[in-house]
Amino acid sequence: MIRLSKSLTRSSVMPERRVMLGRRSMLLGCGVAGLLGAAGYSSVLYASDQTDFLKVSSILTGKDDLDPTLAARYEASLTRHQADFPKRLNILGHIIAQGSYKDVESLFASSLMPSDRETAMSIISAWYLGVVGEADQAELIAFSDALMYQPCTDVLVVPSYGAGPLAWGEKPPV
Amino acid sequence: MKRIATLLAVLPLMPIAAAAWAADMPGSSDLIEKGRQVAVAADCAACHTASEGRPFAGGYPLQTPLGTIYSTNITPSVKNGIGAYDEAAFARAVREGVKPDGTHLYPAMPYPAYSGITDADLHALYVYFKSAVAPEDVSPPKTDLGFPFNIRASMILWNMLYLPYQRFAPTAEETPQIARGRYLVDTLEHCGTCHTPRGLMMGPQSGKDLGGAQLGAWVAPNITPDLLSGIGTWSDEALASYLKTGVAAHLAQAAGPMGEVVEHSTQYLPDGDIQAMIAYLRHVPSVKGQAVHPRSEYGAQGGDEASLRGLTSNVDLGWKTFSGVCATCHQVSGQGRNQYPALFHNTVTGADSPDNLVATILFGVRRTVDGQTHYMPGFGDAAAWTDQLSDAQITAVANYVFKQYGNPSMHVSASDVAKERNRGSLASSMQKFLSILGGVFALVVIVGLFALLLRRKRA
Repeated sequence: MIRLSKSLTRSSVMPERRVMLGRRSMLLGCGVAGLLGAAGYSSVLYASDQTDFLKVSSILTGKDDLDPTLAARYEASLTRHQADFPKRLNILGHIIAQGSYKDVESLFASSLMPSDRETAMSIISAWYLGVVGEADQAELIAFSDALMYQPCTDVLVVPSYGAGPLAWGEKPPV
Repeated sequence: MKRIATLLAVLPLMPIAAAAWAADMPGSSDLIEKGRQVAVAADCAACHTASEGRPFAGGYPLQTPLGTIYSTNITPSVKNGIGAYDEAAFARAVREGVKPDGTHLYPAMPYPAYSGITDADLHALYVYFKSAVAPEDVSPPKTDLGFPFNIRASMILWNMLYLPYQRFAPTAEETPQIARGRYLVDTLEHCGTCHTPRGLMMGPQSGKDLGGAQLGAWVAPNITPDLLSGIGTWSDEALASYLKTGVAAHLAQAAGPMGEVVEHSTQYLPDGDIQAMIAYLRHVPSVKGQAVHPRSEYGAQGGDEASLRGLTSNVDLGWKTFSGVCATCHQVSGQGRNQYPALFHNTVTGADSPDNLVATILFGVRRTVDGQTHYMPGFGDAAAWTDQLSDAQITAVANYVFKQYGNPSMHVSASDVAKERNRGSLASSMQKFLSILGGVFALVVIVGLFALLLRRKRA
């Protein structure tokens, strides 16, 4: 995860993109050259199903308790936004299976094609943000279930939900 | 100082009271304190204090199936309160529901329960009200029930049927703790006033003591040891916590009239009294209800957040309302957080009647315990316009919550919600029931008065 967050930081401080959101820069930064390389794996087709998406997602996010309902919705939405997503997912699944990658760090350390990196990032992005697509095409799938909120749910509630009066502590004596 | 000032203000108004008080001068502060404790245990404030600024000045509207009954001013004001009552008159009002002028009180004042108050407690109560309560010269609204209930003399007959005229005394068969609990539950706290179902004549149904009853928009549940309908599965700790704080974690929370009971009365009871009440409640005969499963053991964390969030069409209105309104505090999976209770394993959603869930949604919860207010906004007519939910929304969300987190066999219709909104009873037969009741009541009154007249003529 350290490597991933480094790459996010790097792309988000690129001067021409510094006003954009991390999510966007992440996708754009990874994707510029990505389209060129997709053809390399296009002839390799594997059966794609929800379990594959869930398996791939599990390796990409490092979590083994991902919600299958959300997985199905993210996959369907990613396919709506990218017609060739099933094919890209198959390729990525194939790479992961071939290389026996157990986590996103080792996968990203390999000589991954930019297009496959982009596919991986679009999946990670969906899980963390709960949103697929950009601007007026953006599709919200999850809010409080988005992974970005999970690390601190033991202490914080997702914005707009209530934690209860005095959740931050007792009122100090005046 | 305040007490002395109060006394100075009160003394010139009531020579009788002053004399009575003077007689108790030795040890009187202990007596006043004892009287205060009796007043707290008898929860006088819940009904007789309508506004916090004027304790015991009356005017609190009690919604009964017969109409609205306003509580009276019981401060020592001579003009509007009990200032001119001597102790015998005070005792008669408390225990028999009769004012010094002969006017009968409605049994909304729980005098059938209070008839058990011991002489010592009643004396302390009298001294407390006369000497430690500030007189308030305010006149509460007049109670005006429709015919035939506006004939207060009909209470003479009612009292003949239902007033026990019996002081509490411990029996040889019960332990001192259970005896104390019985005195608290049956007499002072008058639990049966709400928790015992009423019959055709609004008298307690025999054999159904504490078996649960409808109370306006709310239901006072079965508090007998029955394992399914009652509190048999609750631990002593849960019951004590409920009475002391209004919350039994993962079980229940006090709302509506019970919230007031905890706020004004049970939170102040000494631990020994709480334990005594619990011991007695474990001891009363079980009353079987409709429940087929303990009401606190329905449901689990979960919901449709993952499958429905973000969808813009064909979204279930129940989930939509839940997600937009309820989940804000009860959280997306109904698990609650901190003060906000979980919706599953909750006696409101697991009840065998939908009333308390609908009433909670409509009227909310407000309960101040130990200086901290527990609050849920209501979404009925009293809510800000932007927060109001329609009958359709409340129907949908109540059914969603029952299905998702509670007793799935519960179902409400929009007309149920509309009725509840008007503080009516959920039982659709209630209106019919009331008109029959009115007729029967009138008949009984006429026959009774006729019989009395005959008897008097013969004598």
